[in-house]
Amino acid sequence: MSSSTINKKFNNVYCEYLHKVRHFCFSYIQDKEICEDITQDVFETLWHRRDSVVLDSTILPYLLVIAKNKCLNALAKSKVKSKYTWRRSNSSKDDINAFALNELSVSKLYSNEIRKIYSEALDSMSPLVRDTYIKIRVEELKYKEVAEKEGVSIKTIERRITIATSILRKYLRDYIKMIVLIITGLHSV
Amino acid sequence: MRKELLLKHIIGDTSNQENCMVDQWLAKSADNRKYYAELKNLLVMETMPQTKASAEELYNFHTRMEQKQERKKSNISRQLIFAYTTAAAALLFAAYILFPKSADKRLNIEELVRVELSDIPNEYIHTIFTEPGTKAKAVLPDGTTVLLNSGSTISYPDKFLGNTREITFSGEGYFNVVSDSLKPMIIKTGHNLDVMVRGTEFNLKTFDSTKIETTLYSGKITLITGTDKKGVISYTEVLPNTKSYVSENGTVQLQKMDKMLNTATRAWTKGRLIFDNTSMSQVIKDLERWHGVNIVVTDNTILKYNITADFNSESIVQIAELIKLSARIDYKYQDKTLYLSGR
Repeated sequence: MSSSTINKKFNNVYCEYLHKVRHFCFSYIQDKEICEDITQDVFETLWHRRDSVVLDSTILPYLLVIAKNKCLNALAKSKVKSKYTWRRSNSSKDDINAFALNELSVSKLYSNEIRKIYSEALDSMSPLVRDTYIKIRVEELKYKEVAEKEGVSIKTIERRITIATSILRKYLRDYIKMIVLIITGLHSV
Repeated sequence: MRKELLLKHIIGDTSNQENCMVDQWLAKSADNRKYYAELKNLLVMETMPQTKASAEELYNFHTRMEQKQERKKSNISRQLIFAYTTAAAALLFAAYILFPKSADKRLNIEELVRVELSDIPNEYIHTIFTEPGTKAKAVLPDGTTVLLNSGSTISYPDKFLGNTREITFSGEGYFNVVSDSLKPMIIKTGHNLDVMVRGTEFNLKTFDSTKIETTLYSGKITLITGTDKKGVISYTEVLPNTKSYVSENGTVQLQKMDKMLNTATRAWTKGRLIFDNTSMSQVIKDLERWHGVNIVVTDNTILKYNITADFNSESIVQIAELIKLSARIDYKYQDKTLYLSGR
C-alpha cells in the first residue's frame, strides 16, 4: 500500500475515533490535561505503527487497549505523587477506576465492540428477517418448526437466513478473521 | 446499594456524603468492586460519542508530529557530528584528564520528586515579610536560618515533603542552610533564577531583577537559569568566595571576591551598612529600605556623587549630617521624609 493511502486511512481513523478515545480516557482519568496527553499519545503510537496495523473498523478496541495501559500508568503515577502531597481527595476514585480498567480485558474490549456492531447489524435487518434469524440461530429452533409456526415454506426461512448472514458478514467484515475466537461468548451475554 | 446511586457516582454527580456511602460499600467486598467495575465499563462503552474529530484537531495532530520529527532529526545530526568528532576528542583526552570537572553533566533535577509551594494549600505555608526599617530571622522546618534584610519576603511550608526543600524568596537574605545532601533546597526568586543548595552559607539579593546577586561563603550553590524547549536545564555551579550576578535573560557573571567585598556583602547582617564607591541613587534606595524613610531629591546634580562609607548604628539624620559634611549636599528631615538638595 502506498504511503499516501496509509496516511489517508490513518486520518480517517483519527477523525472517526479521536472523540471516542478521549471519552474513554476521561472516564477513568479525572485530570483533563493528563487525559488529553494520553489521548494524543495513543494516536501518536498508532501513527508510528501505521504501516504494520490494519487501519479498519477493528482499530477501536486496539486503540482502547493502548489507552487502557496508558491510563493505568498515569493512575499509578498519580498515586505515587499523592503520597507526597496533601491532595488525597481523588485517590479512592482513582483506585476504583484502576480496578475497573484492570477488569477490562482485551477480549472484553473486542467482544464489546463486536456485540455493538452485531446489534447494529440486527437493527438494520427487516423485522421478518431478524425474527427468523433470532429463532434459528439464537433460540436454535428447527427450520421446519419455524416454517410451520409462521405458515411459510422452508425455502423462505432459508432465504431469510441467507439475507441475515450476508448482512452480518457485511457489518462484521473487519472482524470476521478474529470472530471465531470470540463468537462463542457472544450469545451467552 | 441502589443502582441509580452507583450510576450517579460513576458519572460524578454525587454529593460528598453519597461518595462516602459508595466508598464504604466498595470497600466491603471484592464482589461489590467487581459489580461497580462492570457497570462502569458498560456505561463507558455505551456512551461513546458519535462525533468526529474536526479538521482543526486533525491539523493540530499533524503539526505536532512534524515538530517532533524535526526535533528528532536535529538530534540525529547531532549524533552524527558526535561520531565524527570522536577522533578529535581522543586528541583532547589528556586535557580531559587534567580537568575532569569540565565534563558536560546534566543536572538531574528532573529525577527529584518536587513538591513545590504552589502544590501546597495556603494554610500550610508560612510567609515572613520585613517592612522597610526592620529585619527578621526565619527558622525553617529543617533548622535552616535566614536573616531577612528590610523589605524582604520568604515563604516556606511547615514541613518539607518530597525530595527537595522548596521555598520562595525575594529581597535580601543571608542563608545558613542545614546540610542535607539527599534533599537539596531550591529557592525560587520569581525571576529567571532558581538557586539550588545543599548546605551552605550565602547571601541572596533580588531587589534588582536585572541583576540578581548571590555571594557564596562556603559550600556550593547551583544557579538554575531556565529550561530550554527540549527540557535541558541551563545552570552554573558556583564555588566559595565568589559573587555572581544573573541578568534578566539568564546570563551569569562570576566575580572572585576579595576581603573588602566579602565584609561589605555580609555587613548588613551585623547591622552595618557599607557603601564602596556606590552611586547616589543606589545609596538612596538602600537608605530608604534600611531606615524605612522616604528620600526626596530636589536637585538632580547630587545624583552624580558616589559614596564610600561605613555606617554602623547611626540614625538617618546622623547619616544625612555625615553626607552633608563630605559632599556639597544639604538636607532637611521632616515627617519621615528626607529632602536632599545641592548646596
